[in-house]
Amino acid sequence: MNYLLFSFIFAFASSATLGQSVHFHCVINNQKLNLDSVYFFPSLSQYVKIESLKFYISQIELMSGNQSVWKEKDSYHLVDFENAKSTQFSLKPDEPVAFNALRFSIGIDSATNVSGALGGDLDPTKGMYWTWHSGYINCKLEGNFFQSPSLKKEFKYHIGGYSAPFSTIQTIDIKGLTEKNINIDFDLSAFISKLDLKSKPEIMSPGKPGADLAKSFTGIFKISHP
Amino acid sequence: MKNGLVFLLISVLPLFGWMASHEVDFQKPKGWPEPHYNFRKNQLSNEKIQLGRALFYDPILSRNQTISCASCHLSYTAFTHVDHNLSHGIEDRIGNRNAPALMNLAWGKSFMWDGSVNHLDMQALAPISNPLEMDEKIENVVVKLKNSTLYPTLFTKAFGDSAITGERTLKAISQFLLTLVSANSKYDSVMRYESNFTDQEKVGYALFQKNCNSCHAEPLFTNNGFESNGLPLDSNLKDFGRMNVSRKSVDSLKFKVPTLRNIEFSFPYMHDGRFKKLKHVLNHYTSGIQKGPGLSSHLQKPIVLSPDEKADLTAFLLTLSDKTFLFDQKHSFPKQILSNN
Repeated sequence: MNYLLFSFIFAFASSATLGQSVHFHCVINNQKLNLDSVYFFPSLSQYVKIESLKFYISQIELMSGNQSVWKEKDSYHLVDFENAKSTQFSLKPDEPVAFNALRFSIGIDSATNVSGALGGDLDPTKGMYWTWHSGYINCKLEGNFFQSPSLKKEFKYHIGGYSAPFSTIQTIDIKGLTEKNINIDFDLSAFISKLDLKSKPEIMSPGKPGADLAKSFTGIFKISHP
Repeated sequence: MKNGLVFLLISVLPLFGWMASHEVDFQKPKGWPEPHYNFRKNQLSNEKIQLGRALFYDPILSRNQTISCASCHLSYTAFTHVDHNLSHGIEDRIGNRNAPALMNLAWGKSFMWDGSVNHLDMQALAPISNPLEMDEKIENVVVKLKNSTLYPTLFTKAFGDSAITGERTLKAISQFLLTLVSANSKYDSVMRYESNFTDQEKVGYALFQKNCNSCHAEPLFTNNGFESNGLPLDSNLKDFGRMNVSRKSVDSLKFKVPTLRNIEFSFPYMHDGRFKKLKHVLNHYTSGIQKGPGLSSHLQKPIVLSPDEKADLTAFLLTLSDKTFLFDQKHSFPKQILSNN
């Protein structure tokens, strides 16, 4: 009985007093993204509709300066802006830690990529796995743009690939955190400015184009100031 | 309080799971290398193997429920599609490669003719989603399995609860595939000093060791590598093999070295099934090799075999037939499970 009570108190304590929440937001033209809405990009002279944006966040660490103070175990989160619940999750250190920065990866590391069938957010039914060329899709952005040369006016960017020289996982550092709850923007306008919508509206396999694009992720994640 | 009860339940549940399934250990044939597959992440059990066997033989994996794994991988012919050069999929669509024989997969390091699949668990995803094969999505497969009358029970027996996920589905299929071990051919019994080669087989074995063994290495009769064996490119299929995966030109026309076990039954031969008979294969190696920049280093020196030597080598290759494997009822269609559904 005591044991049960203890485990109850412990579970309550760890989530209520020690947890930090991480919340990802997607921002386009300085507004919160609405999927399936059309946005105008003056720099591209393009109307763009975003249908889907999802990516894996992994290897989360809380940092104090350059020092790691806590690492999340089994750290894999599929953030899908179609599903608001998936954009927010809690970090649960066993004891309070002082931190002022967050480190994470966008994508799935190579060891996990060769570990066979996995569950939870890594289950291959999540639509983020290449069936014909094993490996996770680290980030998927799909939509339409209306001056597209393709018949369907579509763009599809499936960024992934875990083996050298076209590895796509990227480490992101978010510095200068002052609040316990962490809000991070994915700056979709900045990301879209890196895309070559007209001449390369599709990347759907591992290789140089995807690996080059993945490098731009480092400038895309920013502290959010809601 | 509720949390505590949940905690108690969670800690006891695995016990029920353990009681429900009967774990078995993988039997490594004596003298063979350690398997590459990590059984610690997917402990074999009789119930999971039976679930995987049902999935292997069930057309529920395909979009319109017409094609199963066994449609192209038939147990009596070493789990390949006898007499078919290219794989036949849904609605009579024709694939671009020969369905490979399935055996001794626990030692495989990569799968498919070009090694595009990096783990046995993930292999089934490729034919399930290929539009020329099953043309289905694993997401839909899971939905169909959940809605079936049969599978919630089979998953409960195997995993302790009725949750059906992509991970569990794929791991169960792996379990059945891992049991497809062929290690009881005449060759194996000779190696175990239980029988003897005939004189002709003995000569053939020496020729094999001299000419073939560097790629088709014993005891698996493959080194799991990728080689170009001098086959000219098929101008219709335009299949460059391993290069499509590695994106390196040095891998052009390289394909996975297939096992020679049960080769008597796994015709037609090569990645595109271009040779119907074993003698065509031997003729290729003696007089058909096209020298290209990527040709295997093991084939730089011509292989010379007289007609008699070809007959001797063939006699040896036939000692790799394993009838106990081919006719093992544990590998065949699971009548008791699937015939009422």
